[in-house]
Amino acid sequence: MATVVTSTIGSGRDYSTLAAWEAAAPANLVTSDEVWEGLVYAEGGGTDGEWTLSTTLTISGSTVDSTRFKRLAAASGESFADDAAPRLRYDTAKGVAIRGTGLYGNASPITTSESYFEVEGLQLKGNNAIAGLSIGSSQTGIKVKRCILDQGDRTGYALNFGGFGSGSTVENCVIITGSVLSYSNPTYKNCTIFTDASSRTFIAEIYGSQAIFTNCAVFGFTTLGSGINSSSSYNATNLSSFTGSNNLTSLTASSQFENTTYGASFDLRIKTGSALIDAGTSSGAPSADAFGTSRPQGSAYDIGAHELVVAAASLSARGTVVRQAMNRASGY
Amino acid sequence: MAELLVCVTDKATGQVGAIMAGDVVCVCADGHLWSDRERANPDWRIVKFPGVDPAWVSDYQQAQIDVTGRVVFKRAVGVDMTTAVGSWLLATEQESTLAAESVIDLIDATVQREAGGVL
Repeated sequence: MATVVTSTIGSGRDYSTLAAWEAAAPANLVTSDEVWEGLVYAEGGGTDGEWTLSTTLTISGSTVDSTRFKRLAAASGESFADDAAPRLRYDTAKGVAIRGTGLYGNASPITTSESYFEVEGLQLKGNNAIAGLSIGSSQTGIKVKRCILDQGDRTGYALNFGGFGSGSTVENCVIITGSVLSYSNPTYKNCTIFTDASSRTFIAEIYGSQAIFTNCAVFGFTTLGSGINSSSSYNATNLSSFTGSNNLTSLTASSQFENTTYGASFDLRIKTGSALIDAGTSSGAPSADAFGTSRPQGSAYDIGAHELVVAAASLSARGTVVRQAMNRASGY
Repeated sequence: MAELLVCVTDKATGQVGAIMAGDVVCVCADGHLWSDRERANPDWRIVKFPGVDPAWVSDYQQAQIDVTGRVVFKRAVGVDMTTAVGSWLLATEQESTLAAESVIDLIDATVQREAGGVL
């Protein structure tokens, strides 16, 4: 089994910049039999420790395979999921956040030309119409877990998979985007995908084969576009139809989430009474949500990145239930 | 006000997207707290330019990415290691301080990366 070589990234850590961590990786992770892991702290120098990158962090140049690759994740206690009052939006005050500030080719904070690159627990935000995370053409096996991907002005795409790659998965992510989600064919599981852009056709891919969506909440779009595989299932949307089976349609976004107005109160956690609760499938779905809460909390998996924790019944209420059951058993 | 972390050794000659000798790994503000690993890496040099705005040299961190989104060169431009500046980088201490005017020498010594990894 490959050795996981873990380094911390932040002020006074193993590496002071993301670029230095990446550049220090061995040229051949297969022969060195290593996973090159970077754990990021909210010490990027910006507001609340946000990392602002005027040029894109490029993941490239190492030989990798499915068990030896680069992995970038929030350090323990540093993710948005670890905050005492977590929200599901890009919020520098809630955990490690990395934002691209450049233009054109440098507007995305991270781009990878290496397959099997893995990101977890990060908030990533692009500039202009550019993605929070960009994946170069033909990369395979990319894994994006428990991330918030925010396409700053919601006119472009929040997650850009270059065409023709395969075997990539996006799990428990919140994706705040414009009209186009991505350009290829990853599998999306328990993601919350939202837009409030004026042009809002939901397009999952253009060049690659079709993307499969399971347990995903897709809201804010006005038109269903191309690229959704017919194997998709158990998704929920405001649209009147969605490709695949067992989907919930024609739902109102504001009835599902805590706050759907992009801004300081924006929060895509499921709220009580949402139709997304217990409406998903356990088949192939991640066993915990974006915050690490185990699924299910109710009778079935919730749809989207958040599994709503239902407050336990009070002792008195439980007592009432027990009494009622005993009464029924006794014929009262 | 700028400090540059510069690679002086090819990571993997000819490997697409690998860090190359002369690449600027990152540009930071003056007084940046470099880590022990960054200061001790024999393949890296820390070059300080007091009085130089990091924005003037931040473009040295840019990759060359093709139309499909693949990284062709991790840095689109780099210091030509055959120049006097390149030789100086190889020979200098792990951390060196240069006069602000010397940034001109650095700019003069940088060239666009070209296919095949040749400067």
